[in-house]
Amino acid sequence: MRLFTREKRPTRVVDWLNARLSLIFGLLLAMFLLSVGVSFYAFSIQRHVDDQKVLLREDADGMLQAMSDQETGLRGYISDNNPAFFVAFQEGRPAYLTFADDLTRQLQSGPFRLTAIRLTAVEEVADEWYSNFALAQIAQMQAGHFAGPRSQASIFQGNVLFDQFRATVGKLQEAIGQDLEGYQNQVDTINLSLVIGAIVLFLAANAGLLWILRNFTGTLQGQFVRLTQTTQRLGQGERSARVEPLTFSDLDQVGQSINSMADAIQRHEHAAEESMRTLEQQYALVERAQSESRAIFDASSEAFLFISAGGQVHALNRPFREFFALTGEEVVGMSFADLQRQWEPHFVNAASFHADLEQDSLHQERYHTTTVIQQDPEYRELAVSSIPVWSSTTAYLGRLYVLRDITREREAERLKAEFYSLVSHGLRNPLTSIKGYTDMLAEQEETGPLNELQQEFLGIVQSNARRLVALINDLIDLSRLEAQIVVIHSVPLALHALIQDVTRSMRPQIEERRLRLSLHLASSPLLVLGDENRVGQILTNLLAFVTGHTPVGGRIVWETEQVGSMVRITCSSSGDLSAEDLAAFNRPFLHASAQPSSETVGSVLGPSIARSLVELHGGTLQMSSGPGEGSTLMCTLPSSPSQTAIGEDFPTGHAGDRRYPE
Amino acid sequence: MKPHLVIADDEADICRLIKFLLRSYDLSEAQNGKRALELIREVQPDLALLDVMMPEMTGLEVLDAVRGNPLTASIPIILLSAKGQVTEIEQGLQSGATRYLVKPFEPLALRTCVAEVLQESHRQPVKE
Repeated sequence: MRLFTREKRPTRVVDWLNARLSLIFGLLLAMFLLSVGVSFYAFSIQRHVDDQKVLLREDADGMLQAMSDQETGLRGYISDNNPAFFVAFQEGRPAYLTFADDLTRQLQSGPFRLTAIRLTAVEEVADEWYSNFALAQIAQMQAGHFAGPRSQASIFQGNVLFDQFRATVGKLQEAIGQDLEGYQNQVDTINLSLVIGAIVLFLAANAGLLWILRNFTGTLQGQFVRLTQTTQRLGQGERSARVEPLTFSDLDQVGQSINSMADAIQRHEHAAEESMRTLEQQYALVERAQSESRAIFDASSEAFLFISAGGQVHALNRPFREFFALTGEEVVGMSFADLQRQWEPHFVNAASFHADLEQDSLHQERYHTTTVIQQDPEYRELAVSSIPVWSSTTAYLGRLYVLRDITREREAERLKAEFYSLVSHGLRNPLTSIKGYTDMLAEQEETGPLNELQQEFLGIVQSNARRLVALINDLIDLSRLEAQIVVIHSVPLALHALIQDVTRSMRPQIEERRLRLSLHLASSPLLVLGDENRVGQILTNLLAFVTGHTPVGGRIVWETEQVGSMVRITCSSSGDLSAEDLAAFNRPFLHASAQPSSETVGSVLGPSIARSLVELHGGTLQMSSGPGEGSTLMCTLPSSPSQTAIGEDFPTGHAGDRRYPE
Repeated sequence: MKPHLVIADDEADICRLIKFLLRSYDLSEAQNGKRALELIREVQPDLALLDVMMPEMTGLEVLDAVRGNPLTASIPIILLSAKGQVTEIEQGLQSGATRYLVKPFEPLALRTCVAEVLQESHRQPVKE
């Protein structure tokens, strides 16, 4: 055991255990073999004792029997002289010797000291009987002294000797018994000693085993304790704890693995601490950015409400709180459905508004704007825009509702509509009367003849009424263009036909001023994409303006040309434009001619209206002029990809759709 | 027999002008939309000439009521209006007006228009 620790040679637990188990097995085997040997020895020695018992008694009995046979034979031979007895006598002597030799030999194989002494005594008596008596008797017989009866003395001598023999045999047998008993005792003692020895050995071996096992488990436990203590210390946060080198190579490997794991954990913790510090710095930045965004969010005049993808109120800003008299963020985290229930009394048309909102949850990609009227805590008209919000990775984040207070805008729109109504109704109706009655008077057919002066004056009234009508029409057009409520219905239009129609309708004014008008149109018919009435209006306004600014006897040229996807229309004149005219054209709305004269027939607002309409079609209108170079109005309109025109019979119009009555 | 016309305008001067222009016809006159509708139901005219912006009932409302009643549905109606935008004209025609005249109108144009409408309605009498 100590051997291993002293060597300090790393051993695997399995090898270590195998060595000890082999040792234990060897010990057990030795004990087993020893017990078998001892048992075998005890058995054989006992058996030897038992054999000796039988053999010794047999030999002793055999000696006695052989002596008895000799004595009987001798007695018979002497008394009868019968040779048959002599044979018996003769055969008895070798038998006796055989038994005696046999016994002598037996005695040498055991502790039979007393028996040997007694046997010597027996043999002395027997030899004396045989040599001194029996052989003497026989020699006398054979010498002829047989006839006479034998002396009593000799018989007596023989009997005495034989009795002595018997007595010594008896003692011999007694000695055999004693010796055997002693031998048996001796064997018993040996056996007992063996049993005791075996028990002692067994106990010693067991104690050895126990010690080996305890030592093994103790060592193993010690190693495990070091492992578990280290892992516990690691677990409790003592990051510097490490497993010391262990006796067993495999456990040591486990220990080294734990150590490298601890190293890795320590490294990761360092890295994590580093990342945590970075994260904290970034978090501070994010927090700052967030509070800034929050401030921006709150600074907006529009109310924001952000509903998360899960349907919860996620964020709202200051205007939203103000709109709904919320003191804080109490509705954040609430489900949107609950919020709708809560704000329902605030709205006049809550049911239809909520039905509209419900569509949002069904169609994630839906954008829409709706108007809702809030009656409480304050009257507001709100334009609600619903916008889905996607992350940069196109994940759906939720929906942003932007509530804009359009109460003032609506009010302004109403005022504008009222102005429009006032102008159209309030001015057109009196003009209808002025124009109608002056027209009737001027006709003279139904109202009677007028003198020349009356006719002249009436003509002036009529002309001024016409200018007023044109002005009102332009004002209305401008107000509608500004309010962006003019709708364009674009169709392919045959441009050349339109130009010819417009020219034809302006012919009276052109002829009146003795202007020469020529058309330099593109060789192929051009199609523009536009609203028939509005394109007609644009061309009319351009021609009217140019006509008004061309001196009497001057020249006007229409030119058209396809330029890429656009059509360029140029109306040029020999008349110059003043710097004021050009500046006024570039100002929005009113063309404030420095000196509006009766010569500028047609619309004074015409170019501004034309420019707005051209821009509404996606085109441009430019005006240019230089002293002595005449002037040019150049307009571009989108060309139609289609090949067939609609409404070539311009101006169609309805019976009353005439804006510029002559 | 002269055709019978109902004319309605809240502007007395315009009413007088129309009456003068159309004096060759039998005329019934109303100063507001409600009265105009009553007259149309009462006299079953050959033609009605309605201003759009009138008190009580607008010309468009009268037009709706006339077209909604089987007895008067086929009477031709000319709308006269200060509202001259294309959308407004379209709205009037879609509501069932036979013609739409924008104020200020040409006196002769009004006469021509009335004559045309009367001629058309005689040529194509509407089945009742």
